[in-house]
Amino acid sequence: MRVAEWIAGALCVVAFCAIASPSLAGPREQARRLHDRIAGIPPSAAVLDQMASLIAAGDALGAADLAMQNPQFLMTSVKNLVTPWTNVERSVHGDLNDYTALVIGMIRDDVPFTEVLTADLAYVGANVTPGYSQTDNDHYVALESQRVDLSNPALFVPVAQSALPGSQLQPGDAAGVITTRAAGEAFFSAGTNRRMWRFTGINYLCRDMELLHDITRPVDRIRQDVSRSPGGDSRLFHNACSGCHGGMDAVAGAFAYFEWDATQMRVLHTPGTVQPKHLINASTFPFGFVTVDNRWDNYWREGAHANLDWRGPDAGGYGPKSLGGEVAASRAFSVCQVEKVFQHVCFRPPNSNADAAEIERVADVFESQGYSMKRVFAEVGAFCMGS
Amino acid sequence: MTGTKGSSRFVVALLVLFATACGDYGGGSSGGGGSGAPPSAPNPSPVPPSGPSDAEMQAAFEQTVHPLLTQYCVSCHAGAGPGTPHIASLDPAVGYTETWYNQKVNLGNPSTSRLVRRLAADFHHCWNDCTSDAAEMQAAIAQWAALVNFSGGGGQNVQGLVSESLTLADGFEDEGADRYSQNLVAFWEFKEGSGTVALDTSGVAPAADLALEGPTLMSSYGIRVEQGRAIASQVASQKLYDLLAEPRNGSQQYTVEAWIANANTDQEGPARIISYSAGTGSRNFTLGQVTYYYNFRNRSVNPEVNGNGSPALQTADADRDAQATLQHVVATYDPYRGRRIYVNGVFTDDVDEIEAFPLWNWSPSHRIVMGNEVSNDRQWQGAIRLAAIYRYALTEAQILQNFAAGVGRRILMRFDVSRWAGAGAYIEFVVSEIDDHSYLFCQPTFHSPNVTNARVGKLRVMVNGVAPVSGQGFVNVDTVVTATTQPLSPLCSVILKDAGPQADVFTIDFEYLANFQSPKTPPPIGPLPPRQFGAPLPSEGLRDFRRINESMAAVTGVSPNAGTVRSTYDGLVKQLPVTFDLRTFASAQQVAVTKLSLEYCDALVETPNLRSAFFGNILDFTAPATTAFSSGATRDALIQRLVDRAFGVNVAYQPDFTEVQPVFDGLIDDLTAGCTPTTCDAERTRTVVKSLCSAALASAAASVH
Repeated sequence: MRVAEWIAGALCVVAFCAIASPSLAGPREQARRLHDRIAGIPPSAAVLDQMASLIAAGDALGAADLAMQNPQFLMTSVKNLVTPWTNVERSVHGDLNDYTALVIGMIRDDVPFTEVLTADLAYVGANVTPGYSQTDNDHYVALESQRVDLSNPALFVPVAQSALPGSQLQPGDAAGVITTRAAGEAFFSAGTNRRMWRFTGINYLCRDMELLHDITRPVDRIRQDVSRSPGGDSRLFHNACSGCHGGMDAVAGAFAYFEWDATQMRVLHTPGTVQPKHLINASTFPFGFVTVDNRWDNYWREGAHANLDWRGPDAGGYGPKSLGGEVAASRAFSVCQVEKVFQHVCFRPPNSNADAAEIERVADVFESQGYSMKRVFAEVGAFCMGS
Repeated sequence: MTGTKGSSRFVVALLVLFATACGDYGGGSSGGGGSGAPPSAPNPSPVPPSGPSDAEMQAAFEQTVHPLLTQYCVSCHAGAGPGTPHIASLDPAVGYTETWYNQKVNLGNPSTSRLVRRLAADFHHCWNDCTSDAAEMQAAIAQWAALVNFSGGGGQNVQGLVSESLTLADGFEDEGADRYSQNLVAFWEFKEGSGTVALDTSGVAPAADLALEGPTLMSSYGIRVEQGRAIASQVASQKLYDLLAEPRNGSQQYTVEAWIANANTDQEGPARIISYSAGTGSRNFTLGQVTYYYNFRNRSVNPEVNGNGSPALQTADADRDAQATLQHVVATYDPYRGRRIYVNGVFTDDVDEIEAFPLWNWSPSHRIVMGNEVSNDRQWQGAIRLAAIYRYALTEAQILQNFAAGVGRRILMRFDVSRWAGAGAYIEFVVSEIDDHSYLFCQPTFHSPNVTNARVGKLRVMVNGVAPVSGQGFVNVDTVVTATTQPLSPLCSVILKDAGPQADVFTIDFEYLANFQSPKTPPPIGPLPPRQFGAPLPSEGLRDFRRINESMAAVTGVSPNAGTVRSTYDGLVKQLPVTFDLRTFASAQQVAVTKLSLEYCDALVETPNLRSAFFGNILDFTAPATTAFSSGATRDALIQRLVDRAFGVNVAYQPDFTEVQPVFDGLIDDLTAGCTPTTCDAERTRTVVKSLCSAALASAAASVH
């Protein structure tokens, strides 16, 4: 076989790139782009025709709905969107796991997306071997390798997290993705459980700790393991440490009963018993906060980050479920979900005043339409399909 | 000094003068003990205020929480059952007393009440659903608070709800817990405050006073080492040899104790913290720092140990025992266990593998030095707040005792609030200087001999009339005083110094105090900062690895799990594009895209049913290339099919047939050039189609969208 000749033949025309300006696009071009961006793959000729007809009739959202009926919308596009949320490296490479599966299922079933941080919900394969396990990810690897159609409600089904075999959660403990096995492995392993908050902020408020820094927040929840005089210079504490720990330690208390057991490879939940990692290095500053339960307080409700528009019922509570509700009720949460979809579908972060205004508009729609992520995909897709 | 702060100081000064002149309250910045005696008692208030009476509180309790307790908790907590306290007593007076004075409710923050937490977190005998039961109890407590006007009202609005102002000199020094101090050989507390000598106050002659050749004394007690060394004379240092190592009278064991704050975790050398040595090549002992671990060298007559005290005992690197924060570090040496290191009262578990031998070969001519080597070339940076050398190895209990005793100057400061909370009322803090830049205001305790049920809430420590925005630890304190002496918090505020310990004036600001309130209005919420937009970005993007794979599958109909497609994809996945950003595209990614497309096209062409579904009957795949591609119409049909499937039908921005046909037709010519029916059989025919297929699938028209 003349492989070299074959490859040379293939390579000789790789430069086909006649993509025209989207500003001159008609319904067919818009339909093609809409499908490509939402589903990640090109449409069949029949679907392209249907979508083009809908767009020509002024129903771009209906066309987007057609694109979302392609299983690859969930299995490729949404999976790629979510996978970076599930690991510290924020890598898009990763197996399907219970975290990504939960988000995929919620989007498929149009579950209000605020529940992504609060729901007692998981998604599993209906007839896939091996079954779900608290101690490995084999079930989801099998789902993916067997190419189970995740868009099929008969094959990929919702169950309660607290009802999964071996679960240590009560229904009132489960907190959507926060209490999934994959999130536990990534964010509860080792450390002090602060990482779970950091990545909750990154993924659901679109803000890493630098953007939540505020040295005016009270320091009464900063734990004993944080030096008030690092290197003998307390100015560092005032200007750097307290700015993050003041708010972060106050919310991370919600995770006090959670731990990742690297031996069993599972999440541990010990209601009523604070995990030792919340109490380590107590001699660093003995007069710091001592965690006694899973209380959390949102100190960002005042100060510079009050403009995230926290709208939850309580500024404090117990455990990750109510904390997840506090995050999800904020305006920042709504805007963040739209921003993520915008970048995923439009291939750019908001880059103009028009983009920014559209994100605010779609966030309004998101909130008024039952926090439907499908609607966000459709609205954003229509905005970016060219005109 | 800023103008604002200066003005504030002026206001404070005026307030103090005015208050003193009016006789409303005494004390002030010039009163107090300052050297061991408590400050004078506050003056009586003209109008002793109080919170709600017990009768008012009980009445509210009876309407709100008591019914729940008697309904759901009565079987255990009414007095006859096993539970204590008897919060569910049918006698409301008993139930109130047991509930309130055992602090089972927090009217300032009902959700944190013990009665709520037992239901919500401990699932303690819920009567229905724990979450809703806890909510019901919380609502009842909130109603109780409302009935006694605890939250958001009831108090008289006032401006300047603050305590008397004090300076550090108005407090009195708290000696703290006793240190173990027997068998000292040398002891440095660094209390001198200024000068160039740190005194050895062990009382063991000769005093090994340290000449500060670079280090400076700290007002909070200690020396700060940025450069140079603190060094004792050879004559004075020799007492260590005499008492520890001398063959006839030496103890052959010792302890080095220090409270230190390493400036960083980068320094190495080891950087000398405390050493008894002559230079980098000869020492009796040294405690040093190397990044995250402590290093302890000791010379002995053990032939395995050289004159430099090596090999050293090091704390395990992975444990990161050395931190850039204040630590209590103790190094002991005894004939049974050799060298041991304790950090913050805890043995580091690093066992000395060198057998302990006597110290007879110590050099009497070495010198005690801190912060550096005698030769001045092993600089350590940080703060030494206290150092001691003992004649014996301290026991673990003695080490723990000295760790618990703490370090530095602690001052009890009593801020008079009698003006607001009645005669004799004051709030006490344990104040210290954590370093050169901040004070610690710790463990506030409220004393009120005459007031009960007085609300005390939202405290801030002010310095020179200004409440620093950072480091405040008591702004969430919100409680009701039910005892004459009541701790408010076990925590500390970290308060930045302003004019320094000699001049700073402190005041405690309250939002709620007894019957008065001065709630702070949060500053207005600013808008989110405007978005920052970068340069315009491409409106098109790459398909990433997964999209490419699935797109090729969708176009060809080949399963991604088919044959070698899956293994090829798995091998290429990290080489394929990972993001949509066109600007990241690299030639290696194009090679990977092409290799993957070849697998798909190979599977497509070599699988009859897939081939038939894709191409129909437009080409005879069993014919030699010379026959199969002899017809222009056949070629065009083949190209048309590839264009339609790979690029789409009538999509204006995609290449159309007229653009692709010349290129693909030329490709066919090239791949069949010189062919005869014998040399280019049916396999060549399929190869040509695979090439065309791959050229389409791997082109930018397919991988860019």
